[in-house]
Amino acid sequence: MIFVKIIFLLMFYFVTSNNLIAQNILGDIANKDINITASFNGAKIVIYGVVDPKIYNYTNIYVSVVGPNIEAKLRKKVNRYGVWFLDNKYININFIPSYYAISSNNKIYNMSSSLFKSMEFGWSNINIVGLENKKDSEQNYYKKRLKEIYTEKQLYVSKLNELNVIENTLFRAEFNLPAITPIGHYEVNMYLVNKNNSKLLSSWNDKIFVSKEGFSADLYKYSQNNSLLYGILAAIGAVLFGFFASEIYRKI
Amino acid sequence: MDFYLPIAELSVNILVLIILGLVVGFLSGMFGVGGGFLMTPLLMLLGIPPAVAVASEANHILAASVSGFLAHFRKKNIDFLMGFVLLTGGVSGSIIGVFLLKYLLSIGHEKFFISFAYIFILIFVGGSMLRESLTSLGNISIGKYKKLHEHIWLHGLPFKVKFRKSHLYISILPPIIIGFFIGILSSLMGVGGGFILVPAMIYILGMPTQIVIGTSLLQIVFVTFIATIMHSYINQTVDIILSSLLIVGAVFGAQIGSRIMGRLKAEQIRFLLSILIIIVALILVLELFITPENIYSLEFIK
Repeated sequence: MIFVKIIFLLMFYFVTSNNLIAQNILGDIANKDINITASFNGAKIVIYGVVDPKIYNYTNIYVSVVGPNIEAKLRKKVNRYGVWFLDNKYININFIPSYYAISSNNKIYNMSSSLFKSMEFGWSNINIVGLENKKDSEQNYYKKRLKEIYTEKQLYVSKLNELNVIENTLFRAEFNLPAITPIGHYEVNMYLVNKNNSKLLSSWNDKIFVSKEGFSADLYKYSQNNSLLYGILAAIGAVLFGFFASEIYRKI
Repeated sequence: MDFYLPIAELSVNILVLIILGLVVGFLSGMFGVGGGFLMTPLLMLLGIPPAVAVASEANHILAASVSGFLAHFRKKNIDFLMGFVLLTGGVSGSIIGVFLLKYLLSIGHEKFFISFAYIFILIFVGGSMLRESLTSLGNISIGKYKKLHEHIWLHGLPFKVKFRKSHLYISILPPIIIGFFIGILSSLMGVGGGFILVPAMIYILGMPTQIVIGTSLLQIVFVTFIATIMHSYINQTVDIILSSLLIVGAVFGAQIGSRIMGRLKAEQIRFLLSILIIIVALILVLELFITPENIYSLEFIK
């Protein structure tokens, strides 16, 4: 079991090593390969971590999961004659993480500090390309709107101050990945920060790979790459199905 | 049990889809309508992207109408010449419809357009069904003397052809135009178009009623056949997992529907169906008018 593995890892590590500066935080991911199959209904990302108990009391822990970057169109809905339309104009976002989740063991009072900016931690600090030529106030406005959309689609998860650390050393972060999640590499980051001077002490990162496999993935690929043949087969299949169904019912 | 639809890219409860297929199939078996005009908006309300709902529904209607077409083919209730003329318009209309949908998708207005078209059609169909069922529930209709068919100016247009099976000698332009119009609707809205085609063939073309259903099924089978291929080829929006689940439900539903048909009072069910159609239309209207929770929408580009 991964939990036992981590405890051994932890014991081995802290007993054999006196060098506490090198790596004070370590982690492991319960399921590094997430498969979108026919019965896929979202997944749970479980990240285990250990921190050196000797220094835990003067540190903060931050965990983030960043989905693959994606291009997107942001459109406003406008009301004309009481009816809601999508506006013709749109903002092209060249680059935005398709999923973003964070957790910490403490409250964060100043998200705009240089520390969080350097870790790209917190929604206001994530890297979004496509809004640069807007005024600062507009950038903030659009970032807030994007956050609302992400929250609604469950593509943004914030669990600040919800990370439980057991015995000053062991912790576990859990995030839900919704069914609409895009495929690709998801970065998992852990940061250990000195409480007193806000200096980064240590960090750890790894990747989760979300992929589509199996029948439904093959079907999707086929529909995109051989779309004409896919259509012909879909049409012939429907005709055959209708034919056999009526033949069977004629016999009954 | 949830099932992931690969083209629609979302998970839907498999039972909901089968029951939906069953209910719509049941209604279509009972009333002889394809049911696309009810299924597509219901799929949209389930959260399936409108373009995928429309295209997959075309595939579903194809399977559902083949058996009806075969039944009429065996009874020789089809005017093939008229069918062919209708199809020249229908096939070109459906191809143009697919490209229109591609254009609407590219400017991001497909949802508004499809909902809007549905509101009109559902209110029209539901309203006329409601009126008809109320009058027939109220009083028994009095048989009237009727001519074989009325001649209207449309029939006098050039390119007159003799349609032996339909006992007609009319211009081929009206059927081509009707077929063309239904073809566009079929591709844009995921309907077979029987609910418009049948009255159009009776009242505009003046065809005899017993030939009409079979001939309209001929048109629907071919138009949805072409529409399935074109939707896949041009927009990649046919989700065969979705359409298969609907077909399974529909096949059983249609058989149950056609068997129960004889035992129930048609007017009463027609009345209930018309109420159902109007409710679906009103939900679509509300969706257009209600202030959205989020004033912005985001679409990922792959």
